[in-house]
Amino acid sequence: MAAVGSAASWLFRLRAAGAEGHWRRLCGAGLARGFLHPAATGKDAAQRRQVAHFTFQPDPEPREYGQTQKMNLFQSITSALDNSLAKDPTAVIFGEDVAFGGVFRCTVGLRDKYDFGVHVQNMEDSCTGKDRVFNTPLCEQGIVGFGIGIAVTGATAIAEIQFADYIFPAFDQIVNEAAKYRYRSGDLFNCGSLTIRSPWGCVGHGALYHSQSPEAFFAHCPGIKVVIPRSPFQAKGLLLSCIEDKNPCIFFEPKILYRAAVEQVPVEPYNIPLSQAEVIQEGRDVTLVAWGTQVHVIREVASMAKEKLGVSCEIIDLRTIIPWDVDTVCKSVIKTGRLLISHEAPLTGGFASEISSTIQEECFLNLEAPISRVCGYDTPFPHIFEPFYIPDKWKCYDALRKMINY
Amino acid sequence: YRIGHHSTSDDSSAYRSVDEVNYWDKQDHPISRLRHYLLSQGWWDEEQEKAWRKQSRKKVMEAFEQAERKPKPNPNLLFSDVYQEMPSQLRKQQESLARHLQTYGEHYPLEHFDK
Repeated sequence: MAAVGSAASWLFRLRAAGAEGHWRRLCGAGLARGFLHPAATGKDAAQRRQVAHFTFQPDPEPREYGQTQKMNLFQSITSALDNSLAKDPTAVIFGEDVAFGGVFRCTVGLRDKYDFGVHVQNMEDSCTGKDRVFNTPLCEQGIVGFGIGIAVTGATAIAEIQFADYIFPAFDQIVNEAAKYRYRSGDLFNCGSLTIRSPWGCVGHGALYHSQSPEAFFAHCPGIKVVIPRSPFQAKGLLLSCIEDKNPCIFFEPKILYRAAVEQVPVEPYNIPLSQAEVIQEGRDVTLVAWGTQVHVIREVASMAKEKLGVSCEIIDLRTIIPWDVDTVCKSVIKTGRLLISHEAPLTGGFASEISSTIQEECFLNLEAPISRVCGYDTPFPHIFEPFYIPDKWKCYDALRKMINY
Repeated sequence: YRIGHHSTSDDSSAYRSVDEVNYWDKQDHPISRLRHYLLSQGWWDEEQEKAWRKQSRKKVMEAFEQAERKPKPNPNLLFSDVYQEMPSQLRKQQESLARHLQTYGEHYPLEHFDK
């Protein structure tokens, strides 16, 4: 009876438990584990498991911000959010599934930690976790619209969009409301205390709707800031800056780094400035610009270039997409004369085209070769073709080689 | 009612009780109810049940194995069906991937894809 009744769950368990030892998936054993690392065993494991296209390079332990702790990317996000809820009594976090900790564990523990209960006489001063960290309906337009409303009252609104691929229903709220709020009211009103966080970028098996990098859509919208970290240390400092920034910000979190990126991160709050790119490695011959996960790809390309071609690369992590740090990139290109920009998002209209356009305007006579862009193809993000689609180190290396020989 | 988790990344015990799931799975499963009805009508029995389960499992596993043996489609198809017709810029990108694979093909899982 029960056995047959569970026919549906039998099939599910067949997949999950690997009845014939043929194939096994970790299921429900940790929220993000299945999504970020679909496990496979058996003879076809090699076929199914994809080796990551990058190696995360941690930065040296920061010394200037006090005690540090080993954290991965989602833990560094939790830490930033924790700091915000602690020091800003108006801060609230909301989105789909954030209450129990979020599908990537970014908000684990926060609802309970800030659940002070009704311990005070004056009811107006009481505050429960339910008021600080709460779920919203499945409605991105509503999540952002609601967030704008909170921010306009002056409270700190930290909204989560579960995947950047789902941000489009909120596009009108972001572009036509949030971005224009200050401008259209002649600075009478603003929603500067709004921050939108969202998992971003390729993850190995995300396919069309769990892999997108939509920064270019928002780059075209004056009034908002768009920030993308490459690591846990960067993420915490940049996210805190976004939350404290007096303009609505979108903070994209490279989901493939949530567990893969681990480094020492200060426990106390600290800020990394927005609109400042970082030169993470100095070089003489060519400038490489990227953001998020791709920074680690170009780091490896720089090593390959050094080893195989004797070429010295200067690596820049852009960090803030808009408003972007034109000066740092210009200064670098004036020195090297060659520029390669790389991102996962499709080539046409991707943010590399803005960088390329501006740099050729500002540094035309310094350029030794056309600016190179190594990006995703002009197709939707594919499922099984992902290894061929992404701008991996071999494509970047090849483009660099051609640029050097121009 | 959705007995399983939302996805392999989901642990639904975080937002619904195990008792609730068990109720639907064990007590009120519509397929169970149908099975009991068939039994009570004499249109089905335990032996047929066992045989059918075994046969179905075999069919499914065979289908899986067959599918897994098939190579994935040719990477050229990455560029198909973006539009009804292929824009010239996209064809150029398709050609550049083909050239890239000629030089760097060893770094890609080409053995699992159709030639």
